[in-house]
Amino acid sequence: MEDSDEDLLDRYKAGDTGALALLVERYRRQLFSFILRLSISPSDADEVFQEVWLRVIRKIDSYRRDSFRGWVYRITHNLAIDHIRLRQKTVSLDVPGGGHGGIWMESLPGHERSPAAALRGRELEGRIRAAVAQLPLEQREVFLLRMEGDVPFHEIARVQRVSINTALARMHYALGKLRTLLHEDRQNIES
Amino acid sequence: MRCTDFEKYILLADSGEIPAKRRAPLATHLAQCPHCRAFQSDALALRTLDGQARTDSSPSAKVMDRIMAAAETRHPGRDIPTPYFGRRMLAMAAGLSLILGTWYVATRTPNASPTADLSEARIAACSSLLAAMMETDSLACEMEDVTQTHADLPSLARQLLILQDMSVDPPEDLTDGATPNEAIRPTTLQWRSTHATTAQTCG
Repeated sequence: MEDSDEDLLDRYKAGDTGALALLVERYRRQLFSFILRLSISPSDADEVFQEVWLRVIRKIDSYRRDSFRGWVYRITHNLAIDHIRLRQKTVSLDVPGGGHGGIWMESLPGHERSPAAALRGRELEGRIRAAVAQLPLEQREVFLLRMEGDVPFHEIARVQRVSINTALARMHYALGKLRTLLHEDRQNIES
Repeated sequence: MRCTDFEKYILLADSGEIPAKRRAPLATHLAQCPHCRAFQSDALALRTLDGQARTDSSPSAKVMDRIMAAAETRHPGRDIPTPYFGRRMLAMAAGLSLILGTWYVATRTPNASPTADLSEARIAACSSLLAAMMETDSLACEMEDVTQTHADLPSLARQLLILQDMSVDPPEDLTDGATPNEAIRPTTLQWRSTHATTAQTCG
């Protein structure tokens, strides 16, 4: 049976560095993808991702054994928001189409798919990314936390420091906008 | 309840957070409301779409190496453990009390009144000195009841201080012909006889 996140953290506290390596690996793709899709460039996402784990290591004694997923996403949220605010001085992140995001996302390596599937996937990625990028930051983050991170709503509420009803309302608005923006793709999926 | 309420329950059902008592009303409502069924299927379709759009990129190997290096160097298990720290502090405190005790006994005023300067601090300092002597004296190994001997130390210290303040030489049978200074470092048997003799004297 696979160790839980909390068990791995306990093992690391007890001296097993390999346990932390497992934990980092477990969250590597989803956390990095979450950071990227908040419209942070890959090089900056590297920096944010590194700082997230350094903070986990530094703050490990203050971690209370509740939900590691919620905790690590709270840290990521705080660092990503700080980063975005810093960047907002020069770049508007809520520009339709994702601002600088659309260009660098195209250059990201695709998964191991057939060329045709990779092309379709890339086109779809572009449209969805553009649609998600049009959401206000709070709604975009709720959507990504739920879809990318599989973070439950009560944790999303803690991450954003809002009530669970506010988190649900933001998700509701986000879905409503995306339904309109991705109407055609949704019909393709259904057919 | 209105459809907007049920739409929240659809989202909570998707994340596994719906309260148990809301499951049945939601199922009933979905069976009869096409609007909420459409919302549910759209939410599912968007999840599928988003899954396809998920990037498969990863942080660079350099970043991963830095994280693991930090995990190695900043490991909490490598901190100095508290018990060791506590022992070190205790040893320092014992050393300090030994020095202060020695200084206090060495600089006390001779021929003072037997009770005038017999403060608890003097007795404690003298006890510390005696305890330290016991620890270092190989004869301490011969003690039958170390705990009891340690418990007697304040009483012994008080009696020694009274004798010293009165400038009374210890009885000859306690010193075995040794000088007065040597008499302050008696063997275990001498301590016991000192204690017994003084107790009889005072008694």
